[in-house]
Amino acid sequence: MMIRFLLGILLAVLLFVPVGRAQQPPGSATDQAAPASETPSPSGPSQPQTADLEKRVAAAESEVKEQKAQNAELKATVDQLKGRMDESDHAAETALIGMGEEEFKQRLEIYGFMDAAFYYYDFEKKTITASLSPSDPSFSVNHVNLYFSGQMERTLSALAEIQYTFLPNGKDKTYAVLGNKYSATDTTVMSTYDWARFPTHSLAIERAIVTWKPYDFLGITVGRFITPFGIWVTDHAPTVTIPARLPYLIVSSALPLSQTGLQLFGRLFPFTNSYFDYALTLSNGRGPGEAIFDLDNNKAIGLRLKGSYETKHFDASVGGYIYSGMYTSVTKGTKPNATAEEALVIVVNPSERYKELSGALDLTIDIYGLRLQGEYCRQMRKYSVRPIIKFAVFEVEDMNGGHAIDAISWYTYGLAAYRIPFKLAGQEMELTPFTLYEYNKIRYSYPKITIDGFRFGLNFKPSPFLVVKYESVKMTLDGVETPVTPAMVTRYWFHSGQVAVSF
Amino acid sequence: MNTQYGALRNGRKLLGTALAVVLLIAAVASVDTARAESPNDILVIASPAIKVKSITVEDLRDMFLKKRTNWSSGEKVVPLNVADNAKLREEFRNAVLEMSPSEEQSYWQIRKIKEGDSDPPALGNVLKAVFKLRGAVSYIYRSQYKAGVTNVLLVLPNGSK
Repeated sequence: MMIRFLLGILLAVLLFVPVGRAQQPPGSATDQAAPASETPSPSGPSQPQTADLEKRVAAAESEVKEQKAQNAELKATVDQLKGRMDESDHAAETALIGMGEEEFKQRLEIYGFMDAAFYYYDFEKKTITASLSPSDPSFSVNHVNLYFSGQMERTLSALAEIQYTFLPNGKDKTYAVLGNKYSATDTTVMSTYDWARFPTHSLAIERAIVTWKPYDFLGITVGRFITPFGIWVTDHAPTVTIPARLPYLIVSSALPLSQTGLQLFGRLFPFTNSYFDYALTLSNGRGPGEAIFDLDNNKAIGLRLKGSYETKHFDASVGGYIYSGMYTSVTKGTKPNATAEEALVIVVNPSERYKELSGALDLTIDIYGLRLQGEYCRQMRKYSVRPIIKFAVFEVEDMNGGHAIDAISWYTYGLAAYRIPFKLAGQEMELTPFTLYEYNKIRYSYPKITIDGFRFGLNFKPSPFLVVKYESVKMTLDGVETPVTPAMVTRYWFHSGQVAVSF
Repeated sequence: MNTQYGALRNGRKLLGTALAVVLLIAAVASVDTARAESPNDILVIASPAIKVKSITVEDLRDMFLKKRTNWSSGEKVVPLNVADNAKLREEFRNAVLEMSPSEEQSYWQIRKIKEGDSDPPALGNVLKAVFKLRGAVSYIYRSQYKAGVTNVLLVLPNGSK
């Protein structure tokens, strides 16, 4: 009995489940009730009824004809409009596609960034170092960078980044010490046309590169490129970096910030959301004119390795760069007490030469808006031609400081920031409080100095194109005790508000 | 008597198990056949010259953010967006890029400055452009798709992942 009962249930389930899905959807023709219609009377239509029917049919036919004509007119208008839309679509695509060619070419693009700031140095001790910057609150325009970017072929592109600056106009040249007069650079000129006076300014070429990149794993860049180390040097724009002021690691060029030469680079994809980047650099290295010539037969080489993992709420990257090169500076002139024949020959003598082995490590972690970022650089110099040592910070020769010594210097900073996104008046914005600590030990200068700094600030992004920053920095410059140390050590606060925009 | 009772009990157990299995299969089959293709599905399309049959959402994101510039077959990727204000663009951005419009703009501002890269162009008729441009990849609604014109590498049902 039980078995029969269960078999009955089984059969019922197997039959009714598929049958249920085979039911027609609602609204199908068979569901609709058949419209009421007149049915002819069994005895046949009378004559008045037939005439009436014929009239109504004729009226309906005429209406249908009229509507058909209207539809045809509407269709013609729609086709015309479609044609015009297709034409403008086609024009836009043709501009990109290139008159029926299958190659995709971009036009030259010009864009850039600039920043303006209001800043104030508050020197606790007014030593020589304090003369580097004004002690009165000042407005300034610090960066006006233009990019010229072109994609000539799918694999070939070019990029130039030019920084325009108001310097050197107004910059101190000499101080009134040791019998010298004070002078500042004045680039003011007068027009011969209308006697208008205006200062001339200058520009710096940050990079100018041609890149051929046929594959993700292999590309070649030739020209003046940004050294691929760390985070700050590649970020470098005030619209990208979180704080306003550069860390001393960048200010002092712990590693060369740019190099002229060539770079092999590429990217591999070890697993989902992960990237492995490498770069091999070959360049003139450092030198007084390294952007356009090398003064020694020793090219600098560098190797960059970086691994990163990126998801919506968690990013992490760790990288390193090692650099080996030679710095050479020369004097040119005739030999002392030259003979008539020797006076025709210009002798080139190195006035400074050192081998450099430097390395950098960098780390970033971004987790649910919290950003932790740090860099460490270590620079080793070994002199073969020792110049008169340079003053710390000023980088000018100290006549009393003796000669340069082999030294290891190191630089480091750590940044913590927290991104708070919010909406105001329908616009997405971001507020990022941050803090940074840096510590630097410079050992090739006179005196050997230590620079440490602590800062805190706010970074506010009301739009993707605009950032407003406030920052207060406490810097301490201390040095190993020498006769000149008291004149150099200082402690100061630096307060600034900066507005940076990308366009 | 006991033997007969035991055999009957075993038979019931066996039947109960068979019934449960059959009901389970019927339930799974009914779920499968209930999901129909929707005209609002987003199809990721690529140029016919690309010998790639499918793509993951992660690789697609990398292509549209220019973190990956080559197909696995070696061709250069040409990512093409639809118009900025199109609903399709917003759905694609949410499902694949996982960014808001403001975050996407910020990303490209930063990438331009660091790498000199520009965001993918936005076109009106991506189907035509994908057909014509070697290496192109874009996305359209299923209702806009014409079979045989381009390869379909990925389907995002109703604009979701």
